[in-house]
Amino acid sequence: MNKLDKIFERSTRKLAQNTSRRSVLAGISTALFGAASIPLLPIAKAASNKPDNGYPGVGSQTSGIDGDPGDPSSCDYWRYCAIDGFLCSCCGGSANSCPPGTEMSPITWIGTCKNPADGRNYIISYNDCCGITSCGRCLCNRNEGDKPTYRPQANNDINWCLGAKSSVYTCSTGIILGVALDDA
Amino acid sequence: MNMTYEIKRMAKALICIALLSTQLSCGLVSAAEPENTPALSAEPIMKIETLPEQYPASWFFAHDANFQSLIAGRVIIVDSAADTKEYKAAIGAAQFATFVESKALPELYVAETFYSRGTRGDRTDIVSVYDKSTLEKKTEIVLPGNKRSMVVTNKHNMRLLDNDTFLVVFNFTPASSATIIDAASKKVLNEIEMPGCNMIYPNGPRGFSSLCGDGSMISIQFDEQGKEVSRNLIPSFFNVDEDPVFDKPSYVDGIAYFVSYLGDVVPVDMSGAVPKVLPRWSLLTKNEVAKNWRPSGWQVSTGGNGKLYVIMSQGGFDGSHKSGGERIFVHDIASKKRVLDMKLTTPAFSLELLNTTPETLAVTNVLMGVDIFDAGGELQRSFSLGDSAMPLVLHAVRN
Repeated sequence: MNKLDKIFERSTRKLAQNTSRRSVLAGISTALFGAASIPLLPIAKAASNKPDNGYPGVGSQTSGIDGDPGDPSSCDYWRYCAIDGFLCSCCGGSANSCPPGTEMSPITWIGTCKNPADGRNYIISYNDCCGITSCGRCLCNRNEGDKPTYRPQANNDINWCLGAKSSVYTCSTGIILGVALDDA
Repeated sequence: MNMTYEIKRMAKALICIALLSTQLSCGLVSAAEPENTPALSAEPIMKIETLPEQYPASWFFAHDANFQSLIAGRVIIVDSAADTKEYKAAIGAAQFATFVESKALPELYVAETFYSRGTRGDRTDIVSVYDKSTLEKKTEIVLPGNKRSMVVTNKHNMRLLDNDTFLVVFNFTPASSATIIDAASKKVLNEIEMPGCNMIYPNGPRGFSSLCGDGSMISIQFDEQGKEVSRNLIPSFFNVDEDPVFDKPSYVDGIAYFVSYLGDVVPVDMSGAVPKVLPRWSLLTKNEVAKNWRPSGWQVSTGGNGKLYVIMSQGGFDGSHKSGGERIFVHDIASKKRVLDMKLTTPAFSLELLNTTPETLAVTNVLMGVDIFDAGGELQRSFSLGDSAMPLVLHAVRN
């Protein structure tokens, strides 16, 4: 394999591991790593004591909230079970806030995710942040409960920045709206 | 050591390196004498390539959504049969754009959105009209209301109807409607609302259908002025909660084949003004159902020549429907029998049957390369369309 091939392979693998807004990643992770039952664990955990969010060069985080386990900069974070986009946690925002200078779209799609800490199902609102070009960090696509575009409130293919002043998509949040009725 | 001599020797070596970089002889390598080799001719500047007005059937369009900068996507024109210069050209496709090629006119259409200050400012939704030969932008059609649907690349966001006489753009604000455009005059004729129902699925002599949130379908016909003349509701014919159909059907001989998450085929005859739901059938054996083989991908199916091609993946689960798959099942539609089972080295994400004879299948794999297969399912060649290209949707040239 010549050097250019290696560069290309590296770039495509980087792309495979970290890119694609609306839907590629779960497939890529399955393809490359056979992680069919784990939607997004794109790379083997490094032999390191440091937490690994699966995105090289992205610092790990915690939400700092009791009972809210996991890393908001990781695609495996429990709230992201139906997210599709760049994680705002990696882009200057957080799991429930937009980066400075962007605008949060008021309408969006809704998912239901189980919090492994308390076993409850929570309603999660995946509001997009808008107005700056694609963040490009921590692209994450999980599709639990995702329905096609004819059920828009449960669809993550739609650019929900359509509800903001600028429909230019930047990143996505995963905001807790409340405990799902069955678990309330 | 004579330092002056040494400095001169080093300087000479440096000059030789410099001369070598300009391909002049430095006396270090044997080369033909310049006077024995004809010099290269001067070349014209400002040369720009053109394409034929009618594209060969082996060509296809690869829509690169460009997720790394969605405001600057593109549609790439590629020759599936080429071993050299396979990348022919590209046109812009901004901000969740939709593309369609006209068969009636030598034109390409891109529905796209721009802001006056790049990512901010005043929004303008347009259909850009390109000349197929020069790829120059001929004109643009301003879409009233700036309400064009922005969704990850989907062919059914904009369709040509009635032998390409009408261009229909789907709007989503999230109120749903369709903008009807006269393709020849480029005039916007009308806007037709279909609340709660999405996408444009051509049906009948002059009309379209849209799928609704409860699994029903609304079907609308319009006249030459774009005015609605009939509206029919097809009652719910699939269970959206238990086993929804993908919103990207494959049309074969006037029938739209919708594939469900769990592996059923739901055919709907779209040839008449009122769609007719036909009996559904399964792509899977009982053993395959037990192993959770399911359709999975983006443009998950394609069809033609009496056959339906579907990307399949084993071990499916809630949320696996857009992952891509390691196999492509090819079924004969009439007999419902599987006639080919393609085992892929790199799993497929999207696919498109081209209009070639014999058949050619173009596949976007999960690494975002494009693989070309022959009628027997053998890999012929693989293309990269750019380091960051994401050709999520492929369009066959319409011959």
